[in-house]
Amino acid sequence: MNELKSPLLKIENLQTQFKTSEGIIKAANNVSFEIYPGEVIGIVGESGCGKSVTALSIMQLIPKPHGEIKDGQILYKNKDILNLNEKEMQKIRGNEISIIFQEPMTSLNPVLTIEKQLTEQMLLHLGLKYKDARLKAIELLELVGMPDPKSILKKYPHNLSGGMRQRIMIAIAISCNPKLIIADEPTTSLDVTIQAQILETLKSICETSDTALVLITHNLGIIARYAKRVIVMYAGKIVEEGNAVDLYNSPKHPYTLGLLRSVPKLNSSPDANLEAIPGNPPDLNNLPNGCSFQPRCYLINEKCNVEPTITPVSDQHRTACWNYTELN
Amino acid sequence: MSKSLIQINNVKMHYKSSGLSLFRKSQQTVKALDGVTLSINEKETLGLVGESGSGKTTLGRCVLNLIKPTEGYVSFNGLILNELNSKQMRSIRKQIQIVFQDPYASLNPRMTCGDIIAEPIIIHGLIPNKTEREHKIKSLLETVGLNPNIINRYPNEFSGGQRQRIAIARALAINPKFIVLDEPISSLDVSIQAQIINLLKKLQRQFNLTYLFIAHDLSVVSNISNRVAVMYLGHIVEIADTADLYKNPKHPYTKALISAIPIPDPTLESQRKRLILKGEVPSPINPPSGCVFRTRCPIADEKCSTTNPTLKKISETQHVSCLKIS
Repeated sequence: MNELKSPLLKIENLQTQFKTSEGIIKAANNVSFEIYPGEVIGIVGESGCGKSVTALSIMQLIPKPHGEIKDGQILYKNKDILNLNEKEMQKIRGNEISIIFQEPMTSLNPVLTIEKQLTEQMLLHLGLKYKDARLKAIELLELVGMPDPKSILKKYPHNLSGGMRQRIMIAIAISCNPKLIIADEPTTSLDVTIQAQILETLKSICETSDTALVLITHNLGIIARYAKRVIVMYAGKIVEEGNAVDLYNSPKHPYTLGLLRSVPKLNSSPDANLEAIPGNPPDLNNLPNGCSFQPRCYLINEKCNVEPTITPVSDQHRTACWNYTELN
Repeated sequence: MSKSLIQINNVKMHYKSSGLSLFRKSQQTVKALDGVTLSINEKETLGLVGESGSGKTTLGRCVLNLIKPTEGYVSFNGLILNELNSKQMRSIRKQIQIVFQDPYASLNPRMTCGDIIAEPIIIHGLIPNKTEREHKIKSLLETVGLNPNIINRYPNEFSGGQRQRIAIARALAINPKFIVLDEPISSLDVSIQAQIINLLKKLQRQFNLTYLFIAHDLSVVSNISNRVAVMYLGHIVEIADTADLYKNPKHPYTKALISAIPIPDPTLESQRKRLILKGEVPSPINPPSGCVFRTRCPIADEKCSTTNPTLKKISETQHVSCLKIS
């Protein structure tokens, strides 16, 4: 489907590490994937699986000096952005690639008005005059569905609800017409009915402006609704990647299958038990040898003591499991 | 039909706030609960769903008598809780327990896991003998799926799911009849959520427990509840048997909540029509007149702004509070 286009962003063997008192943690371990122009790609996984670290690595916002991108390439439009200096990176951040964080309560500056925060990027990247930037800000607020944009501009983040703040974050993210938006758990802290509003807004904006969207979440339902391609991460690695329909209908990794089975179905009876994944999420300080999912997996054999590499199952489907053929 | 264990009768919880003004003595009232009537039957799980600010946690606290309602009453086994003196209340407390949302905040970091579970047993003077008590704690740990040898370890050594198991063991320690589960799985990872739900179901069967399961997510509640009550701004808008509520939701808010749950199936999702509500939940300080949901309701008309809807019975198992449904 995408063979004709060249990827907008290509990540190759990304290794991001953190130094801790207990040793070095490989938060993103050999992560490779591609993002094509205008597509919606979902990254799913539990806490500590490396999904946010991957996002921060793309933006080069890994906290230093504890964190470090040890190895790998991040090619944006065929240029390795890991080689850019801070000044050059600033031209990309917000302008070409922008990010929406999970916590709209903490990602906006509490002492600046919405007007200031919304126009800042446009003044910097687009070189607009203040008057024009302000007009564009009003347009953006309308676009993200804020009532009465002019009065909103004068407000501070604390005047707004969580959902409204996340709309402001979206408005900031799209203000410079980026080619790629990374949304890191954009609706996790919001109420269900507000979640639906925000995601629909984000989706329609990306569709109309042909912006690629990386949707990072732990919610398999959200991914199923919005993403065309899905990446599943576990313990810092990609364990499965595929077209959404294939991956949901016939998962090729026991972790993906386990995740799908453990989600409560709406029509299930209260007497039936859920099929939970046994054990606990991995401790990155203390990973088992070989496959990281081993201790929780029901398919293990001797092969699993060797770390599996991600291999293609079919044209657009990859998995990192030795025994995927035995999966039912 | 089993007999009802808890009766919540027209409970109102109005908080007075002074409204942060130096010059004006404006007494504003936050209507956290505004006339809630419910009953919870023995051995059943009642799911209580609503968005933030809907009053679900306040209701949970009223049921535990942690706060006294400004109007109405809660009765447990026929005893009206706010009429009891503290000694009588203490004997009731043995039968009701709570598990909180955040197991990182609800366990004392300076107590060992054994001491945490022992505390309610000691307070109620149930097992004075130390060896016997330790025995009981170990068996409780086994019941909730933990290794009994962790008795001397501290909460920081455990993951979120394990901590929640410890919190559940503490709630079970005094053999309660009724447990309020206040979003017990919201802060846990997806793969752990299912484990905890399964554990709660197992314990319910084993000890004949009654649950009030509070959550903001209908899909989680569907899997554990016999009946579900949907709350909005301090009111119950719909209450029904779980199957009826999901198959045939009547209230427009319930419909919107169900439609807002994304289903983990891309093919189904692409065919699904969604009902997305406009706007946000209004402030409980100044709720809309008439039906509180009317400002976001797709089918509201003038009548909805003047008349207060009441919970009406539309079938043997389903009650709805909407003027447009007869």
